[in-house]
Amino acid sequence: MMNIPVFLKSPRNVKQANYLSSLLYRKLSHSADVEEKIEIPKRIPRGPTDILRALESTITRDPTAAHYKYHDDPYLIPKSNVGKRTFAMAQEAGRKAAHWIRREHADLFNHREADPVIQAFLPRVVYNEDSEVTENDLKQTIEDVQVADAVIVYKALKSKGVKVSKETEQSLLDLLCYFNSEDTLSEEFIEERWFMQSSRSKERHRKIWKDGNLAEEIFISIENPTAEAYSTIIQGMTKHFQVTRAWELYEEAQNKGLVLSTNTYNSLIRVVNFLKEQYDMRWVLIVNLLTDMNKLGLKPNLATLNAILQALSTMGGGNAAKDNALKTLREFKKLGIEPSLGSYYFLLVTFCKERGPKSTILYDIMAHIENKEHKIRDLSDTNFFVTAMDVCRNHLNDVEMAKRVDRLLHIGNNYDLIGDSYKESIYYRHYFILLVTYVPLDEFMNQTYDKLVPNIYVPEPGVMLELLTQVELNAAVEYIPKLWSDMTVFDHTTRENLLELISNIMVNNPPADSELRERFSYIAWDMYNKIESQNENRYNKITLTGEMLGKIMTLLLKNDDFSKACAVMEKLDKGHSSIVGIPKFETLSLFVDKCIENKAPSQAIRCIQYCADSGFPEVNSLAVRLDEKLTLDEELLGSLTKAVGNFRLDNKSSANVE
Amino acid sequence: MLTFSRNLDKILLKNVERQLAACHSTWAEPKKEVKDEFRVLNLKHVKGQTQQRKQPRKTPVLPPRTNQMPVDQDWGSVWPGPRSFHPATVPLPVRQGYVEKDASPGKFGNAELMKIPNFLHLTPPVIKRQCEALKKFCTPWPKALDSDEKCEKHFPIEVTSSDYCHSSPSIREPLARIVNVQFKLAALKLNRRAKDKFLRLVGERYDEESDTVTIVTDRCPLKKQNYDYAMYLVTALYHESWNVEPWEELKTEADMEHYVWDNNASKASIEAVFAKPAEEIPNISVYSEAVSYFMNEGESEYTVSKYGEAVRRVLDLPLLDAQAVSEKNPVRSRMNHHGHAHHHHCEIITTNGHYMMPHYVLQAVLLGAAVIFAVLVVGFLIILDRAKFTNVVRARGQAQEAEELLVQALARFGQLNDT
Repeated sequence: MMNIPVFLKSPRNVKQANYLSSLLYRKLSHSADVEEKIEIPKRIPRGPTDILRALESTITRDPTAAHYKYHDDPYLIPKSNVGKRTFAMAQEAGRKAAHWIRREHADLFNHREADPVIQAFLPRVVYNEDSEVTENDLKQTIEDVQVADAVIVYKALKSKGVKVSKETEQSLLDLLCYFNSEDTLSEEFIEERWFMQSSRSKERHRKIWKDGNLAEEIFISIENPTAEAYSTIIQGMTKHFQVTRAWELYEEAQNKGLVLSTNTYNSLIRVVNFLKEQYDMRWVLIVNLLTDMNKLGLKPNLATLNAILQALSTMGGGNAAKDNALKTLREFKKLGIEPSLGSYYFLLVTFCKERGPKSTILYDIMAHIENKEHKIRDLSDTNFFVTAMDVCRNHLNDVEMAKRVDRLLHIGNNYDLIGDSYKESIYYRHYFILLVTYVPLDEFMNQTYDKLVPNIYVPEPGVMLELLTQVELNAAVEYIPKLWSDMTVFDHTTRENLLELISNIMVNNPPADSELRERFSYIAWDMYNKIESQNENRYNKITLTGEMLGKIMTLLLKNDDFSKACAVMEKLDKGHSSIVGIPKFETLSLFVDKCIENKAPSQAIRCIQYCADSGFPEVNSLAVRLDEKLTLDEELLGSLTKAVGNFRLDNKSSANVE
Repeated sequence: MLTFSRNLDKILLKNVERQLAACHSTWAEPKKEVKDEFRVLNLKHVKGQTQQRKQPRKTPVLPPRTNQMPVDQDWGSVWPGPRSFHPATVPLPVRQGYVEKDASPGKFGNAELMKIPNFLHLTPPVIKRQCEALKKFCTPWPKALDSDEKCEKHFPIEVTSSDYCHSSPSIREPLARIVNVQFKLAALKLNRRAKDKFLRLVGERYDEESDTVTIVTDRCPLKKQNYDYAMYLVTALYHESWNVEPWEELKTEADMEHYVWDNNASKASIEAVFAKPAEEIPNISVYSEAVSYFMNEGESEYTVSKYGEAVRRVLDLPLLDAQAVSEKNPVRSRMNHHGHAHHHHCEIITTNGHYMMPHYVLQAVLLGAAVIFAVLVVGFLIILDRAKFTNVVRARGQAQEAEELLVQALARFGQLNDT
């Protein structure tokens, strides 16, 4: 650095100086590098599935695709509600079969491929009364929620006289009380759970507690049962609606001066309507229980709130229940307990009674919960959406509200709270019927129907009827082909009322363009064939009525499908005695016209014969028309005369009169 | 007897026929057939009794869902992950395969399309979207490291290992244990001796072209262990190459890896000849180079002739003709040794560069060429070895000549000294 000025002094050294300075510059920049601190940022911590979740967040629901549990193939995508259930359950059945084989032939599956070992892949330990068991086995079975195995192990331990520790005994009691000493469906079988819960809800309010089961035995065998044991057994009994025994045990514990857990009180509050008959008595009991809790210093929780609201929701539509519900909510808010969707569900049940006055509480509720992602906090949370939609449709008749509820359902992972397949389809049934009635049909078809049907929701026949009624009101015949193909796919073609309605719409709204006329004719023929080819042994077969056949024939004739119309006419003619009702005269007249057009006098004569047999007074005019338009030979003329009598004579005489 | 058996045959055949007829008659009434379960012996293999099959119920099949897809749909959601091609899901009129005299088969029922891997799940917008989603897990690149040189300077060691992700119950993969460590030798800043030793120690793990040392460790079962082992190796190599063992000082001329002229008798003898230090002898660099070259490369025509030339230069003797030429244009002179044969053809090349030959010349040339070729092949085979031999002999002769000259010169110097 010091040398540079020296070099610069003499002009002949300029080149050298430049070279040196460039060297120096490089050196300088290097030294700057060294000074420059290289800061390597800290790794951003992430969980093992965070990347997958991030990638998943880029994907939205594809309305054209079936649920991912089904194969993406036109032949393997279920099209109806029954199909959805069947396909999913068939898969589950396969899984179960595999489990069964794994269990039955455990000796054949000795390979240990997994590393680290996956417990679920290992064969289950089989226990019986004589197996050598220790307390650890019992702990393990309790840990794995194998109720039946836990019972066997416990009995084996007892028979060997092994002493089981207090803690293990308590946890076994917990398990038995929670599951009512029955094995439960494994969590692995998602589909079965998804499709099953609807049937379970029906038996909700029936006593299912097994009296004198092992749980009770264990409880009795405990000398001086602790408050914990009392809490467990009372909760088990109330969960399975053995209410009187539960109350007895509660009083017993009270007398002994034991402090029961908050959840025990919650479970007692939940079954208060089994304990007392009158509404005010029930409320008094709830207040008493709550005061007891207060005395014992037990802090209530969300379950307490929901239990109170659930009890209130069963107390009729009086104002007392509503007031109490709001009071409770206020009280709990003061305690800092935020109500869950389940609490709002009970509020809706309390306020929006079928026969009660209209309540706008849903608007207030929505103000609290809208645009938020909700997590499940209580079992009853899954009832909220279906009930809210029910209220929107039946109580408020408010489309905007329904759309708001639907928007909330699709925020984040809120769809997890839809419950099960049954609730989901009820939810969409309400949503569809509300929209189809209050939203313009075009808007409904484009924005809702096309997006949700058939992959997310398959309309039930009732909804389809509603939709067809709207189509009839709007004379929107352009949707008929699409709806018919959907009806075929959803297996609605065996519903007589639907068939009647759709054929009415087609006949009463004759389309202007030929393409739609052709489609209608196709639909009519399809309908005819479907009814004709019904299984002989079907339970409730559709029988073709004369009117129906007439409509089909009209639609066919409008599209000049003469041969097909002839087939229908033949069916009418042959089944004259068995077919109920007769087609309209206009249809038959149209048929005769078409016969004349197609130069088929024998068909026409058959039709005229049918008209005459059916007792239409206008039959003569048909015969006259046929005679005028076509030159009939002797034989045909003879059969025509045979059908309607001497029509020429009548005709001439009438002409004479004129 | 014979007739009897024949009659019996006839009767049997008749029976069979009757049975067949009976069986035919039962076809018309399938219900009856179900009733009697007598199975008819079918000797003549008459076409199997076709049972009336139950017509399978036709279930309506949905049209491919590509029909419903809007043009502006979100393709990333339709095809979110890798999967084999499906015609009902991909709304593109793709074709694949080969049919003689026809267009390639369409997408439906086309197994070819299913065989080839597709990247329908990685369209540019999807990649962009996924990168956006993954950005929150990424940290910014250190600003100071803006060039490759800087990266190399601050992080001279490059460690490569692989992780594997299988859809199998096991998460283990033996290949994941291998650790590959790379660094530039220059980064170690060794001196000449240490570098020499280092290179001897790493052997073939050093790539001279890129100046890179590559150490691959796979002997331990775990990646961590292999990495530690690789780091240990690098450390050990470095320190060992600086380490000077006492026996290294005992290296004699015989242990040298190269012939170094300065250390050898050749230098001493030429200094003795000229009676002054080697640096002062004119053209000595040419001589020392030639000697080193001769000793290091081994004896060949070229090294020997070069040596001869160097000797002439040092002693200021007249150069040979060839050597004089080679001085002017050394490359060309060497080429001419091999390029003689081409001279004959040059005459046929016309000015515009095309081969222009009259017919008779062509014939003669062809005939002559054939004969010459045959003779040449035979001759060449015979001469091949000898030619080489004579060359070497000639070169040797030159060397000998030079040596004689040297002796003469020495004698002359002796005389000069005497006087």
